[in-house]
Amino acid sequence: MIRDYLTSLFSFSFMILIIIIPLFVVLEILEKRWLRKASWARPFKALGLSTEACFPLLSGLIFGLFYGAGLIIDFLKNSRLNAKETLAILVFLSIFHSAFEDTLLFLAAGANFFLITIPRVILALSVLIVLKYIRIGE
Amino acid sequence: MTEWDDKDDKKYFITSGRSLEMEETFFALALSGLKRGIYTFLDLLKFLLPVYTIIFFLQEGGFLKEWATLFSPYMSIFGLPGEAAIPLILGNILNIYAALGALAGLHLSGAEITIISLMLLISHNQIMEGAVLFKVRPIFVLLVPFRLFLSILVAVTLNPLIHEIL
Repeated sequence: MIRDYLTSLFSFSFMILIIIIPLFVVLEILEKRWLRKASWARPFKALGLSTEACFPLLSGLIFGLFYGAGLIIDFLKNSRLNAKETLAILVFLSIFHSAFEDTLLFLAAGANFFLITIPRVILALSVLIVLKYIRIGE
Repeated sequence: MTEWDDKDDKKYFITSGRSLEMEETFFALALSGLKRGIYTFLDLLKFLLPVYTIIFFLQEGGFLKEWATLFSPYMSIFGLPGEAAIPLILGNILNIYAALGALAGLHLSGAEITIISLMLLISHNQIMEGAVLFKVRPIFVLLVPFRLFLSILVAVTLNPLIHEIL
């Protein structure tokens, strides 16, 4: 029993370690080098968001709601985003954030990649699409 | 040309309280990424280790049976055994790291782990993240029940399909 306990503890922790370390190296480089380039924003602009709105959306999507929280709150309070865009960003992020870290952790636990990713992408994109075609606060 | 000029960049990044140095080398960035990775891993272990230990020995000792029968009528809606309530509750109240500890301690099938993972990815860490949403604008705290509802909806939809897919 103790042996089972230790084997699965060490194999699971090790798997998480070898996922997390390279992930954070990549994310750090992404954040400091590429996040500020506007070309990132293009696919979201097609979904009806302004370039300005894409920054909090992308940082939340990549780095998580909690890590990016200060950034997102400051941004939303200081920017000229309208009520609809703020709503779109928050609803999108509340159901789909920290896309890389959380997904990889559950893959390590044994979940199926497509089944945990596709439904979330569909849900999050449909939020943006629905909000694109309805009028709120305009 | 990029549409975010330097002036805007400063506005975005100064408010974040982080430095604006673009001159950092890849090596320096990789090093700080490594540090962040290690901190995150330690943070994860802080939750994963105690939860995994408790759940593993409760399960081995057969102490989870009552808990499981208590929750199995609700969990069967999602095609899950009663024990699955543990990672779901821990994940929603605490965080994903605690839920991973519980998942590792239980004996669940791939399909069951997939359903639990999907639910938790949509709805997790509700207290802390609810506070963030509240801070943005109090009305957004309504996203807490919304996420919970979505996670249930998705699991109920996926449950009858999953055995045909996996």
